Amino acid sequence: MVDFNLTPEQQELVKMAEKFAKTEILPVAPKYDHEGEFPQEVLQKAFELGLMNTSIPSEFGGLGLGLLDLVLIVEEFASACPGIAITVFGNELALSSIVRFGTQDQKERYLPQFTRSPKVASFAITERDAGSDIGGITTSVKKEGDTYILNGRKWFITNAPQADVFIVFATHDPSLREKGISAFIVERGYDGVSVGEKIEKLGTRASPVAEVILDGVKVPASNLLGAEKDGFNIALTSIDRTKPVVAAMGVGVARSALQTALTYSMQREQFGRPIGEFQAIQFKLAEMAKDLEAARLLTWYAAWRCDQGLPFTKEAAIAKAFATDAAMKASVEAVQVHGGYGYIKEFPVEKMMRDAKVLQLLEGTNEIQKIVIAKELIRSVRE
Amino acid sequence: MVDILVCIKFVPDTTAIVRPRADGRGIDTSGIKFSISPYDEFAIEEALLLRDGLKGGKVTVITAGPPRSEEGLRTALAMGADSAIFVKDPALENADPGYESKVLAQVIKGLKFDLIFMGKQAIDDDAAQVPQFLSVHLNLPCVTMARKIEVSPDMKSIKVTRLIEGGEEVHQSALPMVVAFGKTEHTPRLPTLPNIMKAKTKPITVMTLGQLGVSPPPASRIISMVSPPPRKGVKLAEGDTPEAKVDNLIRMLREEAKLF
Repeated sequence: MVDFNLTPEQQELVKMAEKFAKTEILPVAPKYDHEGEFPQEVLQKAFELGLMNTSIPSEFGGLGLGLLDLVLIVEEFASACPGIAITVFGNELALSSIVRFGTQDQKERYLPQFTRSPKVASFAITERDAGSDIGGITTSVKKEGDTYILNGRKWFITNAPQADVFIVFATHDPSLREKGISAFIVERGYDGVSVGEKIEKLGTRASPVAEVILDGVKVPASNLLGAEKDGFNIALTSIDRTKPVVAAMGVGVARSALQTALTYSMQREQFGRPIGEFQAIQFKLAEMAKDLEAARLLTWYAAWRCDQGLPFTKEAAIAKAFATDAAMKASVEAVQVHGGYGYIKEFPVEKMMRDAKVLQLLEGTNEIQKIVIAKELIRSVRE
Repeated sequence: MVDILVCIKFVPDTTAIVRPRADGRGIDTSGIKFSISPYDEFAIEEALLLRDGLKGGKVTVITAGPPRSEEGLRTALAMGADSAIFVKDPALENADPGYESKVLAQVIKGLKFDLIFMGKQAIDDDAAQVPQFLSVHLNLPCVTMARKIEVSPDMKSIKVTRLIEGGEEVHQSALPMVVAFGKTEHTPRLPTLPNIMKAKTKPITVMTLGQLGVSPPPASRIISMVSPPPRKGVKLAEGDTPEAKVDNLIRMLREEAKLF
């Protein structure tokens, strides 16, 4: 049985998120894009409406909403500004790893505080020389009695400048590669934790990214997340869950690109008629529309599988790769439809194009997604 | 404790592009986004603020309309209303204000209440008649174009500030009464996510026209509806101050030109 109807509550939350995006995000998106500042005000308002950290289970003070609920909200936010969407939903990755792998004690210590104030949690795995190759991280961990000592530098860490808590991945022995990694809950206030300068980026400039430096940081053993040396699994499992979220950001951007291009093509006249009457433009709009529809369905499907407790690694990778490619393509074409006006800052499409690019890179590049898809395919034959 | 009834109408959204139906007797509703009429949203907001300010009471939203109107009630419940009453009947599509008010009056006659709030007019047909008709049916005072309200501590009377040409007028009345709001000082809230989830458990009482036994009074009916001719050329962003002009311009670019 296939049913594309949203529940009445989902319809309401879409409406609310859409209104929020229109009134609270869209008007300030150019400012944050220009200044590259952290959108604290938007974060505060989103928090007050309960739009942040929707997946925290109710026993820890959250709403315990599903991934499908979340991707519906994310599409609306990203249609207004993917950078702000990344900031507001950045907690999902770090917090979902606590929800999934944390002990009861860790959940009680860390989850409720995120329901009480708009705190920020960051997922710190990437290093300068280890992006897609998680097994290549060199941030080290040594156990001394009841304490783990972390040393190393993390790079491209989303929301790091504002983060209160980090999930840090470190290796016991680099030669063990994927099998030597553990994950830790690291508080910003621990001695030896510092955050470097914000890294200037092409797009999603409302989402600050920085280096995190760990200099002899002592982490109590009670903050080891999951089992020792299970970090690689924790990372992949957590990232699987946020791939549909990134896919939804792609859907939001693709949607805005199409809407903007469609509206413009009906208004802009050349050779005595709206350019939308030319087939060259129509084909672009049609391509955008078909990719958008497919991207949304793939995203919903991956999220739905996750909510149903079904395996969704492959579907999440498919949705993420397809939807973010669709966003890139649609935004580039939206610029093309706008001609020279598409290239200037007074029109919104150049920002969409800059913002879309990062979606193809984060949560695993789209090349990595294809490897994941292929691995899942091959495994299904071998098993 | 205060019991407030809020009558709302679910109308095409301000951003929807509305076209007449082929038979010219109404609008083509297919694919159109609907919302609670904006002045009704102000009425809901005022009711919620009054209830919460008095630390007690109940806000009941009421609508009489075609089946899709239920969505408007759900939004009002998510905003914080306590319960809803839905007179659900396809025959209420394009109901004449006379009929609409008679139906609402019939529902309200069976209820306990201190105040009836609503928007001064729905933005689809802009008839601006239901509050007045309703107050006549219920034999209650009515103040329209309300901008501000103040209920006395003993809950016996209410002061309503009314916007008039070039100024304000303050009315005082005993409760119960009908207050029809224009734009007020309080921007209608967005529902919070927890309230959206909570709304699931709030009751919506559904009634039919048959159950209410209200027959349509003599009424006008729409015999034709046409789109205005397409406008071309210059459009001025008007306003009293430069700031207001810019606000208006941005609104026009967003809502009319749909540039962003």
